Amino acid sequence: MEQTVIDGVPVFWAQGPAPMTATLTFGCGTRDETFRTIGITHLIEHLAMSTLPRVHHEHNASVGLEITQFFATGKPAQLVEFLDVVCRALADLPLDRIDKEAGVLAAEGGQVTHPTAATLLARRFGTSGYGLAPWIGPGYDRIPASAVAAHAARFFTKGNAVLTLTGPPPEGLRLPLPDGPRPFHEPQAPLPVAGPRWSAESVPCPGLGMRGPAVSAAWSLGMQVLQERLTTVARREKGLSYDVGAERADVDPVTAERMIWVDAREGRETEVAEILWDTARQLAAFGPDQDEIDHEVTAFAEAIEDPRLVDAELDLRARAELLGESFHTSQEWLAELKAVTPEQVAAVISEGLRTALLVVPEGGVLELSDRDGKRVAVGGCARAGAVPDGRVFRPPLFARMVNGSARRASLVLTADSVTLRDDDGDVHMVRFADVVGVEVHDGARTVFGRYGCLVPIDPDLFRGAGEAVVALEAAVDPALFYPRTDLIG
Amino acid sequence: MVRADLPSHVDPAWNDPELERAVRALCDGDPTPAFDLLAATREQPDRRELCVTILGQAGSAVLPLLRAAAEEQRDDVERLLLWGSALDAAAWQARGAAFAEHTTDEQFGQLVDLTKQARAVLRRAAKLAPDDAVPWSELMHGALGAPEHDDEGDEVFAQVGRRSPDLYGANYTRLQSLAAKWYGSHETMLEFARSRTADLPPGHPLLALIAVAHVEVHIHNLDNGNFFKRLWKGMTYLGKAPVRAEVDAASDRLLAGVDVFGGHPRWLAANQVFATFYHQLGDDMASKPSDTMRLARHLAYSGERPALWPWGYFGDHEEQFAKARNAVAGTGMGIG
Ligand SMILES: [Zn+2]
Repeated sequence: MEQTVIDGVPVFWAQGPAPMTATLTFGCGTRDETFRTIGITHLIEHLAMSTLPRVHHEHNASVGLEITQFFATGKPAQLVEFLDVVCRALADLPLDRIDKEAGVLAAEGGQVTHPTAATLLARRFGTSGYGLAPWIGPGYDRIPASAVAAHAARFFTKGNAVLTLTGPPPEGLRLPLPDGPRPFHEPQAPLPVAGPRWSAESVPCPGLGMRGPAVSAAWSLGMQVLQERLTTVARREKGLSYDVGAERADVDPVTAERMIWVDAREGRETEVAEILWDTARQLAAFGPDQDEIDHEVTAFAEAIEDPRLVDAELDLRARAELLGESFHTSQEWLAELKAVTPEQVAAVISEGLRTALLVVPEGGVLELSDRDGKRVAVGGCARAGAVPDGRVFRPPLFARMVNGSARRASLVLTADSVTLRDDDGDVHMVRFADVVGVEVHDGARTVFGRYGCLVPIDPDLFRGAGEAVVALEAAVDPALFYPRTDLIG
Repeated sequence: MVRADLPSHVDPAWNDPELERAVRALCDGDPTPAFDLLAATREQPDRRELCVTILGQAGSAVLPLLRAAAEEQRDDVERLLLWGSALDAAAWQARGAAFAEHTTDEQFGQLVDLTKQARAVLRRAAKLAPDDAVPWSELMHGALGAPEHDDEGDEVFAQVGRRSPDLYGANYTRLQSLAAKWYGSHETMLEFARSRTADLPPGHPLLALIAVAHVEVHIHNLDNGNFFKRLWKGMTYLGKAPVRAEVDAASDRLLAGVDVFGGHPRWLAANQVFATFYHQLGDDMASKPSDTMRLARHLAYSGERPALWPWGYFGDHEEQFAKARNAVAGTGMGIG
């Protein structure tokens, strides 16, 4: 792998099969957004790409949890042109196209990761950073143009970019990005949740999330084996499930969040979640068999013989440069995988299960025990233990007479918080200091909290709640309020 | 010196000083004597079965310790056996709690899930020690409470049968699984007790299966039907001539073999089963003075500590045991 610098941007290249691929990677992902600006990275990416002329070579862009990439494959001159246009666009975004691109993006409805993985991240981190993954937020049309410009100026700079190429840098290659330092990504602490938890969520299928070391051949291999075992179950038990998927989030240079999900046929979700849990637990207890390890090592060894893998290795190099992740060449990683023992896999999965989050689609109930025989408690949004003392608003009398849900629900306002007691009796409290966004819709306000709760302050639902609206508006940063999007629903 | 009682989740109807030490150490957080004891019982299946079950009951309170120990030496059969047995005991405790509190299905879910864990651990032990009957005997519990599939109980019991067919715990659990309250009927249960005991030598503790089976029928009578039916059946079943004759015969056979089997790990427990039977028979309309004599003889071999079952069917096991002992006090057929 060769290394150089062009216009202040680090460039890594290695010879791969023609045609050449150029990838411009930025250390900026959805985790760098806030609830108020969800989608801003994707919007920037679209604005930049919208300036490209119709061309013959293949080009595209993607936004991930930690990085954004612009890439193209073609003749050297085409790549020079592509990079030049993208860099110029990023330096001077066509903000007048926001409305048009916002509509395109809303229709596209892309997600940064599988919705089950996204929900696992939200339960781990709350409504912030990685935890924003499953949320739609205010909508693309509610992101202020000034915020778009500021975000681009902070993250899409020379200091936060790396170019990778599957061949030597072409003649005349320029990267006219704006100057700027490499931004610091504030480490994201998980919500303080002790021990494994399960929760029923609006997810399409069951999933399991675990925390662990960022670089661990044992853990990577263990997750592969887990996936393999679950796939075997899925195949054997016909009609139970179809597919298994996995994802990782490199939370910081030493910590990773790993998520695995298993498709389930309707009505079998709980069963599949139990199988997922039990399979992971068994792997934690006894580790994989040696032949399972050998199988994974062989598969990796075969994969890296493909010359197209050069591009993937370059991606890892770019991430290492931008995010401080440690970098291993494929050969180094192969050597690490070969050295993994069943005991190491068992130990790392065992440790991961201590922080496990398990989700099952709405309506599912899981009765499980952890590896010490202790019941796995219910998680989910940060429900409070009791309704705080405060001003209570109830549904209108007529609604209470005809509707059991209305009889049970109430809204409570205190000096520093607003609380919903829902019809299940669960207490969702949002302190004003923890508000991440407020949707304004006619007389109603929907308050989104940092710990996953949302509270509807709607005078139609709760008599006299206008008083709570006034209190909210007095206490919360006006910049967090936004009118309901025009793009969906 | 009188030692403190064992924790209430540990069945104390045995007399084995080494096991006593190991149980107490385990309760105090030291599993080493338990592992050593189990390692010493590899050639003593009856004692091994008792020790694994009892230590498992004690171990259910220190599961993290046993897990860590099993992780330290992943292929150590004794560690796996004890961990699996403890998970199994925890599963049954969850189930017991569910019965007691009349809660929802929640704790039955815990029974199923903890059984899954126990099953995986015990199967690994069985794989590592292919000649050992005790992992299979322990697997009987899960096959009873939360079977993986319909035939698990049959399959597991067959595995015990190939290795140590006369294990007390395995046969006792098998009999339970054939009872009407689980998946069987009085007829199949009694048939099992009869065929299983037909060829036993005098004194063999498994002779208690006959008494257990009739106690099970009795319990079923007390729990089912309208009030008068329950009352009537409760007062007349144990004293029926064929029942009494069958149990008396088994009792005679047991007592005749004290010289050979008096030191069997299950000798006390078997005598307590008969004692429970004859103590209950005392409430029957057809009770006779000779029943009290038999009660006294079995109590004399029952030790000082009552088993949780079958005494516990009829109330607090310690109270029942004390009542039974009072019933024979002053008859001149005293204990010991
Ligand atoms: Zn909530």
